Amino acid sequence: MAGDEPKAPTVGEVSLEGLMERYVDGDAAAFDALYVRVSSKLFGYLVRLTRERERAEDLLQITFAKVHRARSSYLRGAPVLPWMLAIARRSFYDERRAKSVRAEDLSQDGTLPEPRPEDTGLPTEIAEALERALDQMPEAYREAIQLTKITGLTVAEAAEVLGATPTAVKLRVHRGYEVLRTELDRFKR
Amino acid sequence: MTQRDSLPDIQWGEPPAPAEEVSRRIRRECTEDLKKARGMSATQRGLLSVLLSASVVGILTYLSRYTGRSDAAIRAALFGAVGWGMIHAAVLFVGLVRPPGKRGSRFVRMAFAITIPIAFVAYLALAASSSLPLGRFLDEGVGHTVACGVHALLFGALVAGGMMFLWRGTDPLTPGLSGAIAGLLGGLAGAVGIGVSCPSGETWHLWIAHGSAVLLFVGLGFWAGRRWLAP
Repeated sequence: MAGDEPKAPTVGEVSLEGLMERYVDGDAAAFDALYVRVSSKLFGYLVRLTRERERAEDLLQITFAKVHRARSSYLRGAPVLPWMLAIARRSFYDERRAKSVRAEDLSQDGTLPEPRPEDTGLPTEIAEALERALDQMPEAYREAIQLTKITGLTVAEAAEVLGATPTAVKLRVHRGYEVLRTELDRFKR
Repeated sequence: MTQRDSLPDIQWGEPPAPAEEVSRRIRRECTEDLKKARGMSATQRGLLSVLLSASVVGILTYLSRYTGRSDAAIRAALFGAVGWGMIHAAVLFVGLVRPPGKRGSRFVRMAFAITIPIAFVAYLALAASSSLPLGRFLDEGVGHTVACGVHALLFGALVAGGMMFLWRGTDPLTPGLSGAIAGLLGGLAGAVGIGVSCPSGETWHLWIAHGSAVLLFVGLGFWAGRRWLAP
């Protein structure tokens, strides 16, 4: 019966990999859907790396420009989010190398810029304390927590993005969480 | 008494969104005049990689007819070439053909890039038919070794460069490692091909002229991969 035929999935139902395939095939709607689903994850990651919203926006544009140019070399089945995060990360480090700017850049007024705390569902003061602790911990721990706990990658995917072993990523997350735990305990006292 | 761990309960919440204007610009840039941009699939790239390596070995096997090697020596070298061809195919499949993120683990691919060149050098020692003292080799065998080494480098560079071209921009995750694998495959194809056509079976010659090309291309591939294999 014609009415029982399975319908083609809409862009909202398709996996990121499926959307990337459609985008590579020239489907602009698939790019829009892909953008909606990955842009804030990429942007959040870049804000944490740069600690500067404007730079993060520039890097987001660079990242998508690279994705656009490299779409013909996307290999079918490759997980899209780690693929894009790795491009974003490389863009950040390339830019930092080019400008010889350290990650701990001071803003023009000489203070350490801090990204706006995300909504953690915790009381504001605790959330802000955790955000501060996250910003002040070593970059390796922060990135590991950002990718696994905030962006939602698996440990194996985060390890691919960071160029580390899964064990090293687990260790970094664990140590980063120790820092957060200490901060939380200090706050509760 | 166990202490309740509060941290796993943190809901980190939604990440911030980029400004609307930025999103508009990105969307415009990525969708204006958007056309199908389907490149080669991983299987097609893999098959072309095999074809490239096989062509180089085939050409050098053909040229071996003019080097004065005996048929028996060429046959023995071809048996070795078939064995290394199988290793070549396995490394290609695990190291490059599977999409990034689903490839063999970093550890496995790194082990390939380190152990296979060492195994190849060990194989050359076993395959050698004679061994000169180093002093005598330096007196007598350097000229041919240099010529042979240059050929191994040229043919290795041809395959490794071709691999870099075929796999360019495909791996943002581990481009250095993928480059090392591409270099390994190129160096191996060049060295195995030269091994079929080269009339010398002397250990020092085999190590320096044939084996060093493989080691060199692994290093060069790692360097080049970081530049060319990442988008």
